[in-house]
Amino acid sequence: MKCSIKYSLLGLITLAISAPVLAAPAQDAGQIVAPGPAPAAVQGFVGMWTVIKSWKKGPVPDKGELPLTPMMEAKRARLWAMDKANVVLPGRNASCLPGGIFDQFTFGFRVEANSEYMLVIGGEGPTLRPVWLKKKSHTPDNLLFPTYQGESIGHLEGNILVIDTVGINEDDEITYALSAQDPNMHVVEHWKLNNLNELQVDAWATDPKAFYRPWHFTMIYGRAPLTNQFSYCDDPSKADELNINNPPTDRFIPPGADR
Amino acid sequence: MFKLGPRHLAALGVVALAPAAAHHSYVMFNQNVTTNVDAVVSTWQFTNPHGKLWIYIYDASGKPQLWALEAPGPAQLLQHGWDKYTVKPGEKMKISFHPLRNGSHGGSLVEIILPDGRQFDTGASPGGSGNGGRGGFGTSANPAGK
Repeated sequence: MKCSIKYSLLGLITLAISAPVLAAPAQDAGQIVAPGPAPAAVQGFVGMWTVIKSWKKGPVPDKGELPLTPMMEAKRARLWAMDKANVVLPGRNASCLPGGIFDQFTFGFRVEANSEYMLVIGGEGPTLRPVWLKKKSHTPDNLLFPTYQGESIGHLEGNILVIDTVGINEDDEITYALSAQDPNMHVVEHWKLNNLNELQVDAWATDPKAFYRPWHFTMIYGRAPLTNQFSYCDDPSKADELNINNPPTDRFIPPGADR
Repeated sequence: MFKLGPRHLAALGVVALAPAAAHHSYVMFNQNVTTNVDAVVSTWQFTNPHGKLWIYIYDASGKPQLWALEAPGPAQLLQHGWDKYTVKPGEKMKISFHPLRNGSHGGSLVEIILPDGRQFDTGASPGGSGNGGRGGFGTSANPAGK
């Protein structure tokens, strides 16, 4: 009898000790931890956001104008001339490429978050941008590789989420057909809720080759219903620009029309 | 000669300061010209990165000619009340679009009027927030200057 009580107690103790391990994912304890809920201030950013204003009158005098260096102005002029000549410009104009960090600003996005990261899902390009909330510094330069969304780390200063991004792909368009020029391009953002349904993002982009001073812009987003709108190149033509010579075959064709 | 009107200036004021521009230019479309036609829908592609409306327009001899009209992507179209079934193949309707400058059978879709009188705007007209907005986003930052 004593023996069975002893073994029962031993069994209970064993079960009590092992229960957390059994409940945890099958991995080395302490190495990977399931994310918890996001900080309250970050949870407020969760949801779908669409652009309602591209600039807000504020203390900055630049009003969002691109402070392009002479080299970039010349490049823009060349692109403009090509564009006027109906030449399809390289990059995203010719094919479906990821939208990248600046495309997210332009077309809105969806945000999900947990304790580890806030995930910004690009509005029109297939760009997933995690903003790491617990990282204190960026990946060392020798390990950092360029991506369209870059590497973003964020921290809260009160209710403002300050995001710092580096490692942006040189092909990432900062604006129409103009891409970043410096692999050391650096973007700092301030995210804050003006109210429950209005998100303001102020951003400063530094790229010595592209900008003669940091480029500052402000975007105002409105909360929108959740929809499934995040894939990009569903058009069978797999092109961005209009291709009138590639009609779908399963279309309505009226009598007398060429097939 | 096209002149900027108050509506266009207002549009510039709204879109000139965005951080990034659209995927592609809208210089290929003559946004100073709006073509209004009666058409028959061939098919409607409610897809990213652009919706595309294929229509037949009857020429002077009565022969149906196929045209392709580019629209904003679903994210923008949803905001203007469009969905996958807004238009149906074989349906007749009135359509407005900005034609391609090169004279090919294509354009930028502006608006449709269904037989029951319902109107759907894409925002592609100057000052709009849809197609034109995409082309116009980042006016100051856009080599196309739109």
